[in-house]
Amino acid sequence: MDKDEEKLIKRFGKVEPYNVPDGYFEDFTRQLMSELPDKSHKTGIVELHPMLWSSRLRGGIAAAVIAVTLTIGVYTYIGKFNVINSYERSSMPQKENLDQSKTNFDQMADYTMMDNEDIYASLVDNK
Amino acid sequence: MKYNENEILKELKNEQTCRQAFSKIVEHYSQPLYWKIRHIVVEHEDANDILQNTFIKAWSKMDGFQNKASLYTWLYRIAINESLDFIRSQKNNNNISADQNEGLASRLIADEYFNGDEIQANLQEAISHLPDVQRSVFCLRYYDEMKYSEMSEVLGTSEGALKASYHLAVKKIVEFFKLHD
Repeated sequence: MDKDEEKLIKRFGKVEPYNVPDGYFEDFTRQLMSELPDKSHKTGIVELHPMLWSSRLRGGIAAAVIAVTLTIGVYTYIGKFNVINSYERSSMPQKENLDQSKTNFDQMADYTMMDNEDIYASLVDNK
Repeated sequence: MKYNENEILKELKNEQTCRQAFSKIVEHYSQPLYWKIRHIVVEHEDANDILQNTFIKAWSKMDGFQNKASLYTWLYRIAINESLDFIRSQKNNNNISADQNEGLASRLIADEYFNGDEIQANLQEAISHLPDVQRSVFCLRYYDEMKYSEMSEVLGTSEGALKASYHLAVKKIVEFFKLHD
């Protein structure tokens, strides 16, 4: 025992300074046992089937959600782009419209891998 | 009826006898647990609530009790943790600072469940200024005279750390009275 502890004990002693209501301990066990839940009923606790929430399944669901969100986002963006494009085309003056047609024609030519001169030539023949 | 813990632990595993066995545990441990809790939290009503929570928690976790520690250590650990959680939540909820422990002595003197004198009330105020864990170490050692080896099992701290913590707590209380005398 060190000197400081000796001082404390000398000054204050180790008397219990607190008390309890009359009959508190006598009644405590009976009162507690009456409030104790029945072990067979796990009320208030909802247990999810553990398989539903396995980490693998959670990961799969998360990946699926991300994929769907990205897909919707991409389609929305492309859709918006096309809508804007068609809106812009319709509101353009005629000359710009013609230029746009030429551009589209060139693009189509590229796509079909035909020479532009051949396509133009065919168009002339068809007139 | 004599308390036989080995028999009681066997009865706990039987669904038909487990409630009766648990009531024997409550009867045996309620008083010593109560005083340990009370020294930490001070108010009787709070100590009563925490004591009930301790046993309810023990009841719900009884299936997980694996006899690795003694029942005594296990119950005391739950009780001390509940007490520490309580005083921490008091501080968080009410923004209780050290300054608000001032005046505890006069409140205790007016408390019907405190039968100490002014000197004892002043000691309780000094103890309330200690950090939470240090407060519990001091109370377990000073009032309950718990061995450091037992305390180490209950608190999960080394005996050396506990001795140092108690020594510091005593020093702080002595300093408190030097300032306030």
